[in-house]
Amino acid sequence: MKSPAADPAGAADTSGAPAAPLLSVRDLSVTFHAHAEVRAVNGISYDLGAGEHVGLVGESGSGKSAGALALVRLVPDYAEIEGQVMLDGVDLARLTERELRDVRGRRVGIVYQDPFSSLNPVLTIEKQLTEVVRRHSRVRAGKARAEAARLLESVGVPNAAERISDYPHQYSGGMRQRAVIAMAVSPRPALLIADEPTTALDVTVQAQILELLQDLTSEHGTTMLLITHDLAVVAGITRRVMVMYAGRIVEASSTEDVFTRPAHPYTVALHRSLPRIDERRERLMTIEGQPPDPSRPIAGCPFAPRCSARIDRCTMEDPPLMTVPTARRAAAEGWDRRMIREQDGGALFPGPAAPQLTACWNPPPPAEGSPDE
Amino acid sequence: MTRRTKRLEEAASRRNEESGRMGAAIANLRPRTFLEAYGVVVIVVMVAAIAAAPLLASDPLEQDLSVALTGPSADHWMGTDNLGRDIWSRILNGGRVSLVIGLFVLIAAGTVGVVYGAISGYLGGIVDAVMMRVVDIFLSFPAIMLALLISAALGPTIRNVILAIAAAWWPVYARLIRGQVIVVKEREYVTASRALGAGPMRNLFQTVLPNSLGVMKTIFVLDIGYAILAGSTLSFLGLGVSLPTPEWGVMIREALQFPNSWWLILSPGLALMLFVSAINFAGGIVTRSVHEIPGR
Repeated sequence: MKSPAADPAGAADTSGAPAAPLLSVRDLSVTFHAHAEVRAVNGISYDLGAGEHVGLVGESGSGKSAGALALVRLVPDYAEIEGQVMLDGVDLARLTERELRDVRGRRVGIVYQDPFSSLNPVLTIEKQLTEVVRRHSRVRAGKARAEAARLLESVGVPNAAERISDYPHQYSGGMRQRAVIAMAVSPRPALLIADEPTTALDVTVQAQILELLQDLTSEHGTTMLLITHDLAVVAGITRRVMVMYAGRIVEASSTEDVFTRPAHPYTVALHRSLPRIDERRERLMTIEGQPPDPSRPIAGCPFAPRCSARIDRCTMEDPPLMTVPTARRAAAEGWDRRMIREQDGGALFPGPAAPQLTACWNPPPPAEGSPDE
Repeated sequence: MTRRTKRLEEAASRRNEESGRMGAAIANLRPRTFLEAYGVVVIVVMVAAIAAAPLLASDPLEQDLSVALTGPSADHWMGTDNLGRDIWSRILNGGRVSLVIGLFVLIAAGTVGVVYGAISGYLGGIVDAVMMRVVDIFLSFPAIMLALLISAALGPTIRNVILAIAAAWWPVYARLIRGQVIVVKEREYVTASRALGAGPMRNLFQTVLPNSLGVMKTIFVLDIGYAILAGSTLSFLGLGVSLPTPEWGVMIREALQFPNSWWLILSPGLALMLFVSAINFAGGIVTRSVHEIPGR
């Protein structure tokens, strides 16, 4: 799978990587068979190492949630999932619904975006927590209740011993999200998918919730996939970031690189649309145009119509993920796919040891230290 | 007992005293308009009287031909029927029969309808389509016609009346609950519960169904009245409870033979009207309590 002519700068060579990754996703596609065929996720591949915290960033409709929920098949019936999802050597895509039920919760926990709608309104927090405890460890009711109380306390709900008998509507948004997190981490999952966990919360509460997620996952060595549309959210707590656009991963790199030297015009544009504390701007930049209609196949790069660095090739051929040096040389010397593959050594995908990757025929120039011109 | 569990228990008991959800629900059950208050009072008085029938009146089957067909008097203050039986006693004891019919029809039709409709709505697809066509077949008969047919086939006993009416009514509940389940099963907390590893049974009966029952509560209360009416209707038509069991519908039927004895038809007619209308008036309270509970 490797080419001997591997790029010296690129760590496409995975021999230095730690043991097999916890999660390996290969060519995952999610297609919604609604009124039209909507390909929400278009063949993405990536690895998550054990205990890693990785951000998945993209705007609404970029396929980030669908792609993550499809891992445990929590998508509507009319969605078709293709590809391979290896969790600890087990292909989740091949499990039956019944087998998958034991994976959900126990191996893969999910924290949803909106704590106002992800709790059952007619049951007390205690009942809901106790149920989760009993579902995944066969303990007696009394012991499960004590465990539920301990869990609620551990996620920092004030007065947990009293508030546990409340109904969700008696909780504030932050407390509800804490309760949801308590349920998600209760069975000690190996992978925690946090699907925009702070989007529905006040800014002041957001930081607390992120800190809580960070603490709990670090404590138990849990791998976390943090889905967000907000670059600022991943800045503090993830080591790597994958940027999605139109169902594809367009850039993947360390969190630091994404901020200091983004390698895809879309990431650059995202930075420009962020408010910054260290400079005065009259108004924020926006990205012109709309994301492509996912029900229509695109010939070239999906970002090309909105891209300021667009070249002819962008509208004709979809760029694969490449290491940044390869992308630059490919741009300069007009390499075809085969040459790129040879240069990078096999198929490239984001992983714990992967270098900065970009899917762009005309990546931003290297000299640019800051995302701003 | 550890200190924490003790603290938990104390907290739990304290919260129960406070205005938790239960407290709020009870506060919501207080009547707010005159008609609601009237309905509650009438129901309470009538149910109490019906329950205490043996204390308040003589044997409803005891005949005394010497006073047959006499109007209201001090001894028989609602008068007597053609066999000299006390109407007051027959009204009270007949109320028992009517109430039993009403309650059991709801329990039977409600259970079958809710389970059937919930499964149909939750599974969806072809199963749902087939199950709902069965419901359509039942609904295509007028309910009372169906009940009459079943009752005629089974024979006139209290149990058969209940079965007949329940058989005619459950499709309505099935339809209703199916619609609710279809809405609720798409809510995020249902997916969230699946994400925690819940299987379909737990999902349906723990998560979806409890959140779908709101409307049913209202309909149930209102339908007690209609179930009683339906039971009386069957009896009136001679296909329900048969003589000598006292029942309001049967009593009205009998009274038709004696058009000159007005008291025979007045008492059971009034009893039915009072009771059923009172349930309708009081039903507003339940409607409100269901809609005003926050978090729904």
